[in-house]
Amino acid sequence: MKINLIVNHNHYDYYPRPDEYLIESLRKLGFQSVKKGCDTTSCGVCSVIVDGQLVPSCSYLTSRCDQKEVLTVEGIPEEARHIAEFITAEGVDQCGFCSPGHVMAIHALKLELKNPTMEEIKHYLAGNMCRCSGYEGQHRAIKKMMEVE
Amino acid sequence: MKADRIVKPSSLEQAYEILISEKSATILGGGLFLRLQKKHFTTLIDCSHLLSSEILIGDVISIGSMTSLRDIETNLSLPKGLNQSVKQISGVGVRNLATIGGSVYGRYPFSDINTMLVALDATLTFFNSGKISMRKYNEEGLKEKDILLEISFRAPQFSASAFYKKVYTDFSLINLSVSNNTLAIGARPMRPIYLEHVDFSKSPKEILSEVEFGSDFKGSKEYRRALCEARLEDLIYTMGGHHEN
Ligand SMILES: Cc1cc2nc3c(=O)[nH]c(=O)nc-3n(C[C@H](O)[C@H](O)[C@H](O)COP(=O)(O)OP(=O)(O)OC[C@H]3O[C@@H](n4cnc5c(N)ncnc54)[C@H](O)[C@@H]3O)c2cc1C
Ligand code: FES
Ligand code: FES
Repeated sequence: MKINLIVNHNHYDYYPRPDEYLIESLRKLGFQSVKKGCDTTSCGVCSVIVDGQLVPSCSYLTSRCDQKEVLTVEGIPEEARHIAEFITAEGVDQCGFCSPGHVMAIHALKLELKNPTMEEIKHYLAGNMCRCSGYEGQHRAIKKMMEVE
Repeated sequence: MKADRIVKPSSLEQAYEILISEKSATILGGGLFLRLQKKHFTTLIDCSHLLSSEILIGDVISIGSMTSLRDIETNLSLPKGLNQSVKQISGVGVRNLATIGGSVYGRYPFSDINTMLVALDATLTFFNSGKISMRKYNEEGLKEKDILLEISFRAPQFSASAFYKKVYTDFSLINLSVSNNTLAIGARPMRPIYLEHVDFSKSPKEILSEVEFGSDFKGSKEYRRALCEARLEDLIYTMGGHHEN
């Protein structure tokens, strides 16, 4: 089955296997920011945005992406840099493995919620695991960033 | 999960035909639990364009089977207990994909939303089998594969949900839902059961005295009973009762 896969506004004619997941397709196409963590829908490291919604790409069948807009960190370089500045200012940029998925989750949060409370930020990002940071600094960084904006 | 092909049928009749004619053909909901299975499917049937993902609010509330758990969490016209029941099901990304249809059809004993639907005495509408009560389906399942179209129930005057998870996004060790004066308890770890005409002025110990709990790797039956009593007391408190000492 041929699909029109749209990644970061670029169109690709793509022939996914019936059981191929988006993470595999994106990495094959060169979007190496998309990382595989648990591979069981539990860590959020593979998060991307499809048609404006945050999804774990390890569990989203590529065949279902025909004509859908997929967004990865490569598609939002300015925004990613902006978020990273606030994260590093809090000293919570460590191994960085979770960062691309985390940035996509923060981007989705900003698309969905205006002026979120700390509780709402924590709730929204609860599905994005980080083995290094301990989360508090990340949450502080995001709250500060959203206050500045 | 392995699959030989994925099809997008042009009608529900065609989808059903494929479903029953092939032993290992299956309907795709959000696909999250299918993904975790070590099964080889001949055909994955993607009916997302044929099934509803709409929530209709009235005296009777109906929810299309493709509605995401995230939409159920954020639709504040739904009974509060239903919003609460899905709130901590994994992360936002998972809730964006997981559907109410996949949760109900799977009859997962740990399910947080299924306990609420048992309390609400929901009715399920299937393509071939027609209307079946959630309580009956939960106990007996179906004899043949079918396509779940919608879930409906009468809007309750009061509803609430509570659970206990060791980690914020973990599976529940126990979950409870109240709809008017019906109490349902799930993740016991067996399938949810319900008690009707509950007198919430009684103590949780009394209310739960006949309820059976079980043990698994997550916790013993004694631990589950203790958690259930504590969470029931919390629920009763939100209803304006107990908590004197
Ligand atoms: C990491 C993770 C954590 C989770 N944590 C929780 C939790 O804490 N609490 C909780 O309650 N749930 C939890 N869940 C389960 C989740 O809520 C869903 O129940 C589950 O993902 C199934 O929904 P789905 O849409 O993905 O269904 P699928 O995986 O697509 O389908 C599940 C089953 O239902 C069938 N099916 C799907 N839709 C239909 C339909 N319309 N008609 C007929 N058959 C259908 C499929 O063929 C399959 O057999 C978790 C899931 C994951 C992946
Ligand atoms: S790799 Fe997708 S959720 Fe962990
Ligand atoms: S910084 Fe290492 S996993 Fe998050």
